[in-house]
Amino acid sequence: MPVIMHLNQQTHGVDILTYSPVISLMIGGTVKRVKRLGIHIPANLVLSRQPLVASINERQFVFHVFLDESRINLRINGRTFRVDIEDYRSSRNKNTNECNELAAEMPGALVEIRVVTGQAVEKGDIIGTIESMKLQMQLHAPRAGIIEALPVKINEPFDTGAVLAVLKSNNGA
Amino acid sequence: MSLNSPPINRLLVANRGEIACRIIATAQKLGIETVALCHVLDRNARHASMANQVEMITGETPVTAYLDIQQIIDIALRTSCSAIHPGYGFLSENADFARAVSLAGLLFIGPAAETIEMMGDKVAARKFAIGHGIPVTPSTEATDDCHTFIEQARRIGFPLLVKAVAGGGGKGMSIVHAEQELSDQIRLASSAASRYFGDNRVYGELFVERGRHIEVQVVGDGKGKVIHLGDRECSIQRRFQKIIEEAPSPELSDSIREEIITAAIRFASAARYLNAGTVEFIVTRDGNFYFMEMNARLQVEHRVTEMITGIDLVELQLMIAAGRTLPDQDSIKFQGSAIECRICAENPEHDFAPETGRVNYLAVPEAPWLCFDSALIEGQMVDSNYDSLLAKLIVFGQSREEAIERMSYALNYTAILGVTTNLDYLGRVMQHRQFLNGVLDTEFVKQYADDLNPAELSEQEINTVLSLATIVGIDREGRTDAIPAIYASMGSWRN
Repeated sequence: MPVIMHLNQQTHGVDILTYSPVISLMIGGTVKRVKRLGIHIPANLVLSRQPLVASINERQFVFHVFLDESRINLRINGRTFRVDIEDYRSSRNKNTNECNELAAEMPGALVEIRVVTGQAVEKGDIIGTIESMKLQMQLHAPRAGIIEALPVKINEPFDTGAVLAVLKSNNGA
Repeated sequence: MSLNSPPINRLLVANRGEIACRIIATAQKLGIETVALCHVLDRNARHASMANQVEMITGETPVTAYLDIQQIIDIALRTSCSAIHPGYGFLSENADFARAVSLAGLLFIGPAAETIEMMGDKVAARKFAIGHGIPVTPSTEATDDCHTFIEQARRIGFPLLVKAVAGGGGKGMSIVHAEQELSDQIRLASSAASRYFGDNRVYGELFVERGRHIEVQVVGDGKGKVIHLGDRECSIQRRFQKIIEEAPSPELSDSIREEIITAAIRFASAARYLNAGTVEFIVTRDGNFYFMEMNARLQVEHRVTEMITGIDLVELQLMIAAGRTLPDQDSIKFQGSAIECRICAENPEHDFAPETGRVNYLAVPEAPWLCFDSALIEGQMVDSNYDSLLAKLIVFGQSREEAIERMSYALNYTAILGVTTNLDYLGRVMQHRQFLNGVLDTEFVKQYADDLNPAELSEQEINTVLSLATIVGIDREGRTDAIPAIYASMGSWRN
């Protein structure tokens, strides 16, 4: 059974072939022999957290790593990656094309509301203005429809995922 | 301290985050006791643990607490402080605060209230510059009336930069390319201005395309004597906010540098500027320069100036506030090159939108040639209550090339995991050919957006990431079903 991983919206399978004395992995049809080599101490620099070093097919890589509940966070040679393991991916995937609820992508506050409930909107119409930290962003209608509800009041703080507007279809569907 | 000047024994730091830590560090060095302010949400914050004394401040949100003038002054008096340092942001450019501090018999570490007032009114400051023979870009009058604005804007032309009269920090600013966009943008800018600064007036000035943002650090004695601590280049910006600054500016000819510095001194001297401040200019491609504004406070990027002059600006601020005489210009020596990167919780691939999350892992670099200014601690929640600035990484080099090389090296080893940051992006800027050449302007981020996007991962790179993720991940993820006993028994890889 391969371990299913997600990186940059792509799905990959990794087969663990051997665990000892060397870890061998099968990734995308090629075999990788991976060795843990310990920690890496850079020259002329003291770090509050030491990166790790490992070799893959004899080539060395230095990386920082942190594992939280569902995700492996890696920083390798100046690039940061998030790898999600399948079992831990949240299952609440929404089909945004048919989505009736406009949810906040980040916490913030609605500083302006340009529509009222019952109003018809076209795709791309401005529903209001969100402010998060110093940034102001306009909230656009994802599709045409009628504003059914505006659950968040003006200047009331909201969290990621909060429903800012509810749309229903023009034809009553 | 001289006998006839009020000494500072105890300093209230009316701020939080990295700048509060930075001010406390200098106070400690000088043997001055510090009192920190702390909102309940900040109770584990680093600035609170550094100070000699911590006083809780209350407010509906942390931001309203740090803006509560009366509460802050009451605390200063109750804790026997003799001076208040406002840092940057919050109350640092609030004339009412400076006035209230003085009225309470305390020293305000910064300019006089009247100066703050004038510099805070961007249109008044521009008029003052014109009055002293310093060029400014054509602009409209301040107004809250859309109709008047549009009429005046027509005469100036486009692109037009719409700004809040009382503005700062890029808030409520936008570039308008055509008249039909104007009314929408005026309305947005005006509402932002009213919310941030309590003043809904906006104005427009001709936007200088591909200009460089050059600023001069000045220090004045309040009687007309002003010295400079050199220039800074702050052209690398996004959302009208700086992300990379350096000193001195690369590619600025000696003659233009001298002209700009002379203009800055003339401006600050005419204003009888007291304490540290920054005069900002926009420099065109053909070497003309225009006054933009004066920031009547310590700047976020003051560290690059410290690195090339060896002067502790907060120490100098305290000395001046205590009545010490200004150092002579001749005593200020410049050496080497310094660069600052602002590490922010934001997503450069998402138009630099702010990000929130928990900082689960923090690898901070330390070396004699670098400075990592931050109040971050592992486990800290980064939320939308405050600005997205997490840390400043500042490096020194004997040459600009060495500074860039060192910055790249330090950035590479720095890690902040758990929240999306611009660390990778900053590393890519350091390696961009136009940055290396020192050919910078305020549209750099837009102009080279494609180059600055992360390169597509090759199959080999993907395999590397997956291999490393696999070996460190599986046994820690609790997937015991997928892991044969021998693998699990190898133990987890802790660091």
